[in-house]
Amino acid sequence: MHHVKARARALMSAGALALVLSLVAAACGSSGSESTSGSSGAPAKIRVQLSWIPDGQFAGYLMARDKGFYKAENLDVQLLPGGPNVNAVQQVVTGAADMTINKVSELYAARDKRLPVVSIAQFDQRSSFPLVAFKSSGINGPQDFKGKKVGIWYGGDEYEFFALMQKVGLDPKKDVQLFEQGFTMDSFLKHDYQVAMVTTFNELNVIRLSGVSDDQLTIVNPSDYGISIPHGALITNENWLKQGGNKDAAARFVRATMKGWDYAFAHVDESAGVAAKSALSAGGDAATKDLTKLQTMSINEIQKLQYPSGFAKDQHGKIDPTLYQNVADIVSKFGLVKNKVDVTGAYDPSIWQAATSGGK
Amino acid sequence: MAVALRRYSGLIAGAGFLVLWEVAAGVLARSGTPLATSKLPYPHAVVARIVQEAPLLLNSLWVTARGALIGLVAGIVLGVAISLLLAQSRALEAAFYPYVVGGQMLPTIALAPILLAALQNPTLTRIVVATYISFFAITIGTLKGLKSVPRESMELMRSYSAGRRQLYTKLKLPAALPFLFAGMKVAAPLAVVGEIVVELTGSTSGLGYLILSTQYYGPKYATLFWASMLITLALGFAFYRAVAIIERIVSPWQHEFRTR
Repeated sequence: MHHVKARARALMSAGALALVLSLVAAACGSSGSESTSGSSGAPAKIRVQLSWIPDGQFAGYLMARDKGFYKAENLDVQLLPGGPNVNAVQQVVTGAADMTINKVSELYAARDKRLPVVSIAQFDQRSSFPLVAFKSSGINGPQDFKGKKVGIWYGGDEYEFFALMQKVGLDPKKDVQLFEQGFTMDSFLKHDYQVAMVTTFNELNVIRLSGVSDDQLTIVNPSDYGISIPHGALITNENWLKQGGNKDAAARFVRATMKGWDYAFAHVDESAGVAAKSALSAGGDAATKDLTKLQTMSINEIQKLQYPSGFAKDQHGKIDPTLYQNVADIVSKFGLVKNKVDVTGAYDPSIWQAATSGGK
Repeated sequence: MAVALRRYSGLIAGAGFLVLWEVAAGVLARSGTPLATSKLPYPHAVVARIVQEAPLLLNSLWVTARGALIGLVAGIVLGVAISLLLAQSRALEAAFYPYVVGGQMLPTIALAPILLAALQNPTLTRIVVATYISFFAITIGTLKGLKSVPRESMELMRSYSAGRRQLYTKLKLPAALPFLFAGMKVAAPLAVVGEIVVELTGSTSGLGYLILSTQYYGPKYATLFWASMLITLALGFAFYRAVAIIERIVSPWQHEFRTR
């Protein structure tokens, strides 16, 4: 009896040891490293720091990569995943990435600290951070937020809300009960609070998919009130841009990305599949299938941001000076920046021009 | 009977916990709380999700286990090296020990994104953080072990005119082994934690990443979230058990392993 037990134990130990050893061996064997190249003719390497995990909100970049649009422009593009603790703009400042996609307000905030960042394209033309409330709570517009519990995100996302409140005659610090919400919509769906900040490309669709129809909701988009801090600014490092050949590479990158977005909008189902797969670390068929529905909605919403109704198609990706001035006004008014904003210095229109004129 | 009971007590407690969980989830679901199943899903639903998403979860488990293991091994090497160094003289220990302790006070969650920016490689960052978080327990344990040798034993060794090398291989290191393993038992689950912290921040694979992304896409992913959590827990436990098993093989003379 004892022998059997001892043998079983020895076997178990040996098994565990073998498992551990094989893990070590496999781990050591599969370490891959890539080399960089600076020689002419070789593809230009561009590292893009995404502001969140790589899903539908970055469909244009994912498709430009997967469909070979970057490769066709002789670019070697690496999409670096973001997360709740990644400061995307900071990554560009430190040189950990060459470009990032972020809010125009973040561009100004960084430049206000004398950080060498500049915008070279602007994909979203509208705010992607509306506020939602259940109509059943008696809210039919932003003026009804008075006295209500409002969950928003801080860290830069709050300024648009402050400006909106002021626009409708409310004091955001006194007239509403502000608190920082999490990044799930569960509490809102449970009616723990009345107004939630959402993104059109994710949380709003999460709410919709949990069985809430748009008829039941009041959706307040700040852009409809003349307040707009759009996301989708393509931000790069001024010093990087100055280095030889990088302006040309940036223009090629913008061109390929525009193509990627247009491909995503024209092939929503396919792109949603790619986005879902990317969001779930390329595995899990069942979960991917399920997530594809959400990503489809996400990409359709992004199309509305990049091509709002009445928008001239040939302006896709172009930086609109009025839009940038509008954002500058908001960030100055609400103290996100300390100095006067140099709006025209914050963007370089030549890259988009080079991307859209001539070329391939 | 009593022996069997003791042997399986862990399993019985685990099963009891699952039953409690199932009952609690049932009570919550019946109470009419909106989204009860996302607040606290049924354990059987979580298990079903594990089966359904086995390839995804296995893939994530592999990534996390690999990173944590390399980190742990590196942490052990580093921890033993530091403790051997500090054991050489009291002055060295007095000079650096506070910094070893102090270094552990840095919040890993804040360190991870900075390291990620500096190293520019998520895989390497995970390993570095897992190493960093695990070396501490090893250092403290081993150092204590090296100093635990009774004075009489040292004197005996000296009287045989044992050299420094012999002193370590024959006396100090074997004496330190139980302490090293005690440290490793703390460090092994911590290595998994370190790996997960980095995965929560700017990576696209591993259980930590899954824990993050499944919260982002709504209540439908609640069971997948809990599945990732449970598997992470199991991984930490497996690491702990693996250390215990290796300990039995490497130092079978220890008092606690002797058959009574």
